[in-house]
Amino acid sequence: MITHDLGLTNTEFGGILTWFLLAYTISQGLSGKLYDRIGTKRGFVCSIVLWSIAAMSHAFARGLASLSVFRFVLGFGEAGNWPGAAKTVAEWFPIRERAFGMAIFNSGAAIGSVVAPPLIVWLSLTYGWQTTFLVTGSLGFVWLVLWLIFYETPDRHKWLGEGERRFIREGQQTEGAADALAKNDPRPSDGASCCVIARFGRLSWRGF
Amino acid sequence: MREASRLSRLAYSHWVPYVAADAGSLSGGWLSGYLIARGWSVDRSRKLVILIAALLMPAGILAAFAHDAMVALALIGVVLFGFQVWINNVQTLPSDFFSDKAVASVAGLGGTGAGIGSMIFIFGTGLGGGPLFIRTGVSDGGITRPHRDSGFICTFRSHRARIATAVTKTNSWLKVFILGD
Repeated sequence: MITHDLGLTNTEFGGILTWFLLAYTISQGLSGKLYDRIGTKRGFVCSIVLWSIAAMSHAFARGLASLSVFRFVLGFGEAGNWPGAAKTVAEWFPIRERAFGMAIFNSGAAIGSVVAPPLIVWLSLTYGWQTTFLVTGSLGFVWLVLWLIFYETPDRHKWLGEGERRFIREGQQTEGAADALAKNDPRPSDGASCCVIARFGRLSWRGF
Repeated sequence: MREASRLSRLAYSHWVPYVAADAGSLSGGWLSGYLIARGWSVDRSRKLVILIAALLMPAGILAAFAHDAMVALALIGVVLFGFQVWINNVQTLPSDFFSDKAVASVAGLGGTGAGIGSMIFIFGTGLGGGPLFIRTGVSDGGITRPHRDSGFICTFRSHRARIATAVTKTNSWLKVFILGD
């Protein structure tokens, strides 16, 4: 639809996607640095604001150039999500449980990929692709509000008991320490659940 | 109207491999944690799980030659299962090796490496890159996500090439299979 409306050939559209990939590639390294400097809470705010604005801007694309720019910015924002997730998981999970923390994050992507395309197809067939981009892009801001309300690093989080804080901290150094503390099921972190929601929103534009 | 029916078909057929991917994601994440809890070292646990995953992924080669859509689909499921087992443990490596303060930088570098790998793959195999990228990234509703998942080791890109080809093929079979097109 989008290629038809903007009069783009498939090759041109492929070129646009390549801009996305290029931004994505550059941004992973840069965003990682950024997250380490300003922390996960503010880092994700940067990525998501950039991503959401870029996604919504797609609705105003007029042709090859503008669409390329929007996709480039989209890729730049979206890529921050991976180093951000790795760091969030490292902050919230003891070593033993980190791979599972990552799994929760990644399964959010899979769930999003199952749930989002039918919704996207419905939206775009009913209201057109411009509206669809506006809606999915604005979901990023919904996520952002939740993130700002609920997310904190473990050393600051108000909802975290002292025992669990210690469990996370000690589990971060050696696995021996984590094993010594015979606690089996700390609840999944708020950060991770937020990430799952993020993935859902993030993937919604993929139906195109 | 053709556009509409194409999109609807996409909506019906895209989800199947993701169930396998999700199962791989969760079980891969769980397994290395389980091994560590049983007294294995972090190093050994991650290596074993990554090895198992790497052994599963070449199933994609068979999928590219399968003649039956369901067989191909099952093989793709195995590939995506293996890939998710693999990626979850690979993405955890930066935090195994580095302190909290450097995790994102290292993970980001890994991601940049993965991006460069993807680009080499796309331009190297696509003969013009664009059309192949369109096939894998767009026609399939992004099933193969050739650029998405950050990986650590570029040599694993070749698996992705197989996944891309095989998923593209399977997906078109699936559409035929489900909708009798």
